[in-house]
Amino acid sequence: MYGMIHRAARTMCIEVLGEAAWAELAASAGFNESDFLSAQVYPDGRTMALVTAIAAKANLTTDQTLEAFGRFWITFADKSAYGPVMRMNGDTLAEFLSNLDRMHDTIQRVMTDTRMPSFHVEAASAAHIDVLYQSERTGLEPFVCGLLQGLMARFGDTGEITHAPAPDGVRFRIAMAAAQAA
Amino acid sequence: MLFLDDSELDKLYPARLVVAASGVIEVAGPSFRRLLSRDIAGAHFDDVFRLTPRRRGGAETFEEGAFTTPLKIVTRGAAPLHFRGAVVETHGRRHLLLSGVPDGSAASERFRYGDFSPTDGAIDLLLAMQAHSASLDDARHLSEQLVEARAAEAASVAKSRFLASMSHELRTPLNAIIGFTEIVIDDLAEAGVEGSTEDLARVLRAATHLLALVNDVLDLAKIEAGKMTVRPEAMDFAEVVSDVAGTLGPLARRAGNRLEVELQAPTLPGFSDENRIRQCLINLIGNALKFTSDGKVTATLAVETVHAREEIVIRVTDTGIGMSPEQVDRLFRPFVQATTDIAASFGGTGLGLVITQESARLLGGSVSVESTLGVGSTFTLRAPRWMESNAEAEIPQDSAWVVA
Ligand code: HEM
Repeated sequence: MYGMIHRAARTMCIEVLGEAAWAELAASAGFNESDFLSAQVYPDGRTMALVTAIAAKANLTTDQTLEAFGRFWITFADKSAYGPVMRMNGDTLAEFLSNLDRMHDTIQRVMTDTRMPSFHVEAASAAHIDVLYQSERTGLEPFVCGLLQGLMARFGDTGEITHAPAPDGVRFRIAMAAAQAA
Repeated sequence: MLFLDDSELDKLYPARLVVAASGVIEVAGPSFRRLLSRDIAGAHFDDVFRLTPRRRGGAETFEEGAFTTPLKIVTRGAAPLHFRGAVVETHGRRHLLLSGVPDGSAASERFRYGDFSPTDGAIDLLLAMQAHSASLDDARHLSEQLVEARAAEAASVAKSRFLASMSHELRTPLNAIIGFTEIVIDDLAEAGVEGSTEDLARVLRAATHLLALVNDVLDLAKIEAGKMTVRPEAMDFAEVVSDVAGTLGPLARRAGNRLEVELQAPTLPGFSDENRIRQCLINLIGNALKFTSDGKVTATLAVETVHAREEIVIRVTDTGIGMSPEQVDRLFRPFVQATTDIAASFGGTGLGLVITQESARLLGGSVSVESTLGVGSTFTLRAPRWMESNAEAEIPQDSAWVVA
């Protein structure tokens, strides 16, 4: 994946585990500055190696790390140069998710070698949102879970996220908690 | 003619306005309803918007009757929003097909993706610029690091060059002190003046020790400056091993150690740098003896074929104090070992092993170590039996240390 994803993972690791832990991890897993160029495309294997190394250092499973990374990505993107893009994407969770494809599309016009996922909002109500996630990759469901959790937090929503495989992708359901109470 | 209905137009141009000839806004697209948090239909255009002035006199107008007119309008209010677009006239109604202009100002942060026509490239441009500036930041950061690294490297090479060139200046007076002290001791002994030779012998020992230290430091400096060279020649490995063992015999006996040599064959001809091999052996056997007392040090010499290449393998095994894995780890780092307790109690710069390692590397070989605390250590020196005569040119860049 693109180096900006690597940068985010590194930032998360430094913020959570500290500079020293990061330095150790980078030295032992063989990561250096050349693995973190925003506009560079790295093989997915390299990206996963980074996630796995962070998982080992943090004493988490790879899936837990992916999920944490998903949550982190949202705050990271908000604070990054892409902050305005994030803000432009919508004022509610459902609106944000509906515009995600267009946003990734636009990003792809700059980062031409990306293989972007697709998110299609199939149903949205006060009680729940159904989103179909499609990707060329497999195994990133925990990452998507984390991203959705991060987005819910961003919009001040709470609720539960479940997912199930569908013929055409993976269907995520966000069940909003206290939709009535609010 | 426009054949699209209102909802289709809303999708295509979320920020659109329909203005009657009177100036009254008849329709405001969904973006305006959201952005201005009120319905402006029915309001007069001039009460809500301002046409930006033309460069040369007069305000821009959308009433020129042209089919399409580039148009810039700004909302009135505390945090004005900029729009850009074109006018299309049908049946006396003017359709203003607009798009926000996200200029990075706080106001323009109110725009959402949904405010832009799908045909509008403004967001693409915005993103391209952001991606561009992000990679520029990376590049700047990297080149700064590169400049720093280059400067540090240059300083280090300069330091090493200086040290290497000091070699002569340091060794000459030391050799003079040693040589003349020996002469004076001999002269005094001949003249039968016994009393003061004891002090002079102390001077001699101290000076010899100092010379050894200086030699170590300068060797390392030479290595770092890339000035250490190898001169391969026809030689006999068995002879060198026996020779070094013979020289170190007295040192072994002093600590109650047995020094044994096991040769695969009485002669083992090859093509390598005899002086470097000798220096490595003196270091390895000397070290083994230093850390062993009332024990045994064995030096074995054999030939092995590795990847169709003949290698000489010299193993130096001792029954000394041995090392923990942490100590082994520190062993070959310049200046680290020198500060450890071991070096402190046994003397020396602690650079001998680093130099041995580098010498082995220059010979196209390696040094490895296996050690058990309290049991002893085995150091293994491997080097090609037949060096290429132009081997100097192909020194491998990576470290030759293999910790087994
Ligand atoms: C401004 C914010 C964002 C930027 C710049 C961005 C950019 C990217 C980039 C560069 C990739 C890598 C694709 C590749 O290298 O092939 C990616 C992947 C991905 N993005 Fe985004 N993204 C953003 C926000 C989001 C958000 C908010 C979500 C929330 C759901 C999201 C979901 C994903 C997922 C799931 C992937 C993994 C690719 C896959 O599933 O195959 N992204 N994004």
